[in-house]
Formats: sequence, C-alpha cells, structure tokens
Amino acid sequence: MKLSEMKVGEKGRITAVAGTAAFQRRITAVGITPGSVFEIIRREPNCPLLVYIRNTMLAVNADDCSRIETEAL
Amino acid sequence: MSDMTIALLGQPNSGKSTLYNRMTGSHQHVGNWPGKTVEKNEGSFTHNGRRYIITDLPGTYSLAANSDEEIVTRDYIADNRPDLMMIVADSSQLERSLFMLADYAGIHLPCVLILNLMDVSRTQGKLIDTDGLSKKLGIPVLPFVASDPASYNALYKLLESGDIPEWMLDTSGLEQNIREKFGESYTAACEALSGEDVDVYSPMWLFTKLAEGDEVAYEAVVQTKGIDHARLRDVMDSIENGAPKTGSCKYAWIDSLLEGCVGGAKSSAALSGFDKFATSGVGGKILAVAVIFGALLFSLFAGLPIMAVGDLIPGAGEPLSEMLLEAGASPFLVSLLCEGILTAVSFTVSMCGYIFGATFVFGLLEDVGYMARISYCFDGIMQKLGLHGKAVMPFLVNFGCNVSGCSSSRVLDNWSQRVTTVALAFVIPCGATWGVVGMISTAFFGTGGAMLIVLALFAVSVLHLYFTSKIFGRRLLTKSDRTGLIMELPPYHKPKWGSLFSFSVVRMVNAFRRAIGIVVLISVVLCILSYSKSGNFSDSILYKFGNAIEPVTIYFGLRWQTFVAWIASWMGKEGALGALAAVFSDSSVMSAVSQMNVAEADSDAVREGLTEVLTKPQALAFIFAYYFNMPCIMSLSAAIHETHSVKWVLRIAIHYTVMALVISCLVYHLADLVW
Repeated sequence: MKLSEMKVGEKGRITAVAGTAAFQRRITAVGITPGSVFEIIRREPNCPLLVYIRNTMLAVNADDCSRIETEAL
Repeated sequence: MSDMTIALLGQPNSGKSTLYNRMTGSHQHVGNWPGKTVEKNEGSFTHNGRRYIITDLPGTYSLAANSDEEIVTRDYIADNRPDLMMIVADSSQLERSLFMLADYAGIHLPCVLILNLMDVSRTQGKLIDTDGLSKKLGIPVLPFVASDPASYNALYKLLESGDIPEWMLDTSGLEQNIREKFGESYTAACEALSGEDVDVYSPMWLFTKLAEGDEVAYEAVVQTKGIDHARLRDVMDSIENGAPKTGSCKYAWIDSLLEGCVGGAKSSAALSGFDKFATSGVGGKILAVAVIFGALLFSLFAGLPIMAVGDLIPGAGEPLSEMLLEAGASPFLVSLLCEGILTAVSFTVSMCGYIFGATFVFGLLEDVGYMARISYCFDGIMQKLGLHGKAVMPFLVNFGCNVSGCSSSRVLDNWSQRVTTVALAFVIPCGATWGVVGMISTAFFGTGGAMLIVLALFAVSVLHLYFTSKIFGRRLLTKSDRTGLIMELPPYHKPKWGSLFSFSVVRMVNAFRRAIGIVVLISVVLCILSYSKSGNFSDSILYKFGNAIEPVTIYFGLRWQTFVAWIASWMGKEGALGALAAVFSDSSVMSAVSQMNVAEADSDAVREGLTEVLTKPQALAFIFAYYFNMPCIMSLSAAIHETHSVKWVLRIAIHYTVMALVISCLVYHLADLVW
C-alpha cells in the first residue's frame, strides 16, 4: 500500500522508496527509509500528510507520499 | 600554542547555533561562502591561553549534495580539515538526529558527539547512557544543555585533551551493514577504489555517496588517479535505489548504537491539543492568519524606537543649514547635505526599524517552532505558485518590510526556488505603502470607496501573482527544482531571546551597510534635480522635466506630479508622500520627502492640491501604479545579496515597473469610461 493511501491512526512500515535519486536522498535524510516504522497522524485536504517516524513529526507533500510503498502493521 | 580549528556540524533544530553563540559571544563574523548564497558564520574564543576558531556549518539533514548548504559543508570539511569536528545531535529526537553522524561516518577527521537538549529528553523520561555510546563509537560523547554553564566547562575540558587526533569514529558496525546489504558490489567497488582514502573520505564513504547517485562525489572520484574507473562504473551502474538502501544501513547502525544505551519512556506520537488545532485544515489557517496579523503589529511596535530615531534626523537639518549658511557655505551644498543626505540617512535608519522588527518577530515564530506549522497550513496555496510551504515566510515578512522578506528567503532549499520566491513575494507591498494608499483613496473616494479600492488591489494582486509566477516560474523552476514539502514539525521550544536579538541586530546592520550608499546617491541626484536658485520648485530641472514628459506619463494615467511621486517611492515607499507634499507646497522636493509623517496641515495641503489637480481616474491610476511599483532600492539591494544575481534582480525590477505601468494604464482607461 502507498503511504498516501493510509488512514489516520494507522501504523506501518516503509518497504520501498521510488522516485529520482535526489528525492530518495532528501527523504532518506529525514528518516524515511525501508524498514522505518511510522504512524499516520493527520491528513487534511490541501495540506501535506503528517507522519510520525523515527521520533519526528514530518510533513510530507501528498504527491511525494505516493512514491513511498508501505505495509500495514 | 597554535590556534585550534573546530567545525560544528548538525541538523537543523539541533541547537548547534546556540552553542556557537554562547561560546563565541561577540567574536563573530558573518560572511558568505565564496560564490554561494549561504551564510558563513565564523567566530573565535580563547580558553586558558589557547585560541579556538570555530565555524558554524549550515544546518542540514545530511551530507548529500542536495543543496548549496550541503555542498558548502562538505567542501569546507574536505578543504579545511578542521582539527576537530563537533557533531551536534538533538537528544530528544535522537534516532533521526544521529543520521548526520551516520552520514559523516567514514570521513577521516577527529570528531566528538554532543548530545544537546538533554534537559528536554530528560523531561520526556528518556535515559541516555552516553558512556556506553562513547564506547561503541570510539569517540567522546558529551551530554549537553545549551543553557547550562557546566556543560561548557565539560566541553572546554574536552578541548584541552591531548588525545584529540585519536578521536576517530568506529565505523565497523556500519561497514558490516553495508557489506551485508550490497554484498559483492561493495567488495568490488572497494577493490576498484584500491582500498585507499580519497582526500578525507574512506572507500566506504565514497561507496555510499556513489550509490546514492551523488554527482559531486562522482566528480571527485573521476579526478583521482589509481582508481579502476571502468570497473567502478560497472559496479555502481548495477546498483538501484542506492539512497534507500544506504539509508537503511545507516539507520540500522543507529538502531544498534542506541540499543542498550537508551532507556526509559518512549516518546509519544500524539499531537498536543494546541497542535491538533494548529494543523487542522480550516482552524489552522485561521489561527495562522491571526498569529501573522499579531506578529506584524508587534514587529511595528518592536521597530518603533529605531524608526523614531530615523524620524528625528531631518529635524537637525534646519538648525544645521542655518549654521552652515551663516558660516558662508554655498546654499547649493547646504541643501545637498541638509536635505539630500540627511533625508537618505533618515530613510535608511527608519527602514532599519522595520527590518529589525520583522526579523525579530518572524525569527521568534521560527525559534519557537510555529513557523513550520504556518508553512504546513499554506503549502497547498504556495504549490499553486510552483513553490512549497516554506516559501510562505518571505511573503509574510514582506507585509512588514521587503528587505527582511528577501533575507528570509534563505529557508528555501535551492537557488531557483529562492529567486522565484523573491520575485513573487514582491507583489506584497511593505507596511509603508498603506499610509499613502489610505490617504489618497479616502481623499478621492471616501471611506467606503477606499475599502473597495483595497479589495480591488487584492484582486489584482492575485492576478499579478499568477502572471508573475508563470513568467518567472517557467524560466527558473525546472521540474527537478519543483520539489514538494518535506519538513519536520519541530517540538515547541522556548525562544532564545539573546541570540534572537543579536541575530536581528546583525541583519539590520548588514542591510543598513548595503543600502546607505545607494540611497544617499539617489537622494543626492533627486536633490540636484529639484534644486533651483530662486528656491521656487517651478524653476527646478525636475519641474521642467516633469512637465516635458507629462504627455507620455498621462497615457498611464500619471500626471507629472504623481509621476514624480511614483519615482520617489523607489527610494522608500513613504517617499511618495513627501514628493507630493513638495510638489504642492512649491518647496524643495527633498526637504518635503524627508517629512515622512507629513504633519496634519501639510497632509491637508496635499489632499487639497491632489483633489484640485487630479481627476478620479488619475487618482485611481496613481494608487495602482504606486501599490504595484517595484520595491524600494534597499529591497533590491537585499535581493541581490540573497540571490547573488544582479541580472535576475534587474529583470524582476523591470518586470514590476512595467507591470505597475500596464496596470495603471488599464485602470486609468477603464475608469475614464466610468467617470
């Protein structure tokens, strides 16, 4: 399942990150890598997705979330 | 003893700048990295007779070559080889924060790890075994509380140790992970790299960077002799999704480091009640708008003392000129000095009030962590302009002062986004604009009419923004530059008043230094043009010139009086009011321009004069031309400083000038049909 499709309150684990090398580097640096466990905190229309991952509250652009594959926990 | 060089490395919000400020005090130098728009902070301190030179590297999330900041950081480390790297991590967000250490691992320079914000992690109930960590890493690990003097004493003691050259990070665990993940590829790549360091970089470090598709590292390797380039290329080409893979290795290493060294309560994912509201779709936006409005009011208040000083300066003009005239100085030179130069100084000082206020207040929002929430709320809107949420800050600051707005564009990730943001944010006129707009629109159209005009200005602003974003976005933002928002919502922090204050003062002083020369020059030119031997304005060059070109300016709805005012607002938006006062009171323009807060009587005279000379369509045309005029010279010089591109700033200035004239032309001719 893509990160963009997960519902608020759901927990999951990142399985793969697609996209350009530059995007992969950017997203890796903030803690989104295969194996990371996360929880979806907030999803509002016209706002980035709020994800809690590696002790950090991250706001991630909705389009970018569709490049991130996850599995539900 | 020779000086010791130290570099501070850490992620944003790790608190390393507080450390830097506390250690160096006033011994700081702010410059720019050569050829880059990145601020270079270098300071020094002396302890027990030894001088330490310390560089505060830009706060970045990693050492990947994603942005100028990261490239600058890497170049600095490789070229300058500081005696000691201090890597600062936020102990309240240890996992993510240690990524910088993991990305550094493999660079062969001595380092220490500073676990900052120990007070915060303690209140979270987290227990960190720094000795255990230190054993695993092979370097000293120092628990740190940036506000506690004892922490600094421990740090100074560490610096006096003779073992510094031996503090090399133990990367065997990380290398193990990489070997397991990449298998044959890693072994083959290391062989191709001949197993030796390039510069300060170990083969492992180079391998991870090449796997991540890092072009800068690639360049460095290509130029190195003794490497089997063909084989290396074959190996690296076979690796896919390098960054996620190396990232997993690095985080797995971090997890293994923290295992057994971090205990106590797990930090919670839940948003606080306040944050639930601050990040909600509608409520969050309403709150953000309210906070911004309050911040703007407060910034005006904070800058008030400095603005008052600026307002006092022209008062010295009259006694000074009398004194000089009595002493037999030439009237022309006296007028130049007392009117031209004093006015320029007064303008620039007053502007500094705005700059200080806006920098301080918006810096405060950033410092406590609320700015990230504002960026989050407005990300959707900014995306429509081809930008993302972080670009909202310059737009907001511009409501106060365009000079500070330019400086705040620094938060953006890359140069193209920065220039586009500066170009677009100039649609927002600074606080000074409203005085003139308010006065003229009420004089001609009454209070109700003035409100309609404000609405019309906003509506045209939206169109202007859209149009400008198309023009500049197409030229500046390629697809790869249009990155989406990936941003941390940091936990709320107490503001660091001291460093905030000194930061605002430094910004203000820098802006003053940059601007004063050019403002003086322009005001001297205006002064010469408006000078006449008889003292009557109608004998001046400016008057004759204005009359001569009126047939052209009237096409845009500008009479020569309003055209002069329009030009004068390049110096500072308030300049327009003074210029109008001059034109209608038949005195020298510059002496009137200096009366920024035109006295009640004068402003009545202006109003009377205006309503006699201008028709309603002409008044409307002037309001629009003035409102959408290019920002003042000081803002442009700030923009050049931030973008390092005279070419682009000139383009932006010309774009705004043309747009202002086109808009006023349209408004004039449309309004002419009505009245």
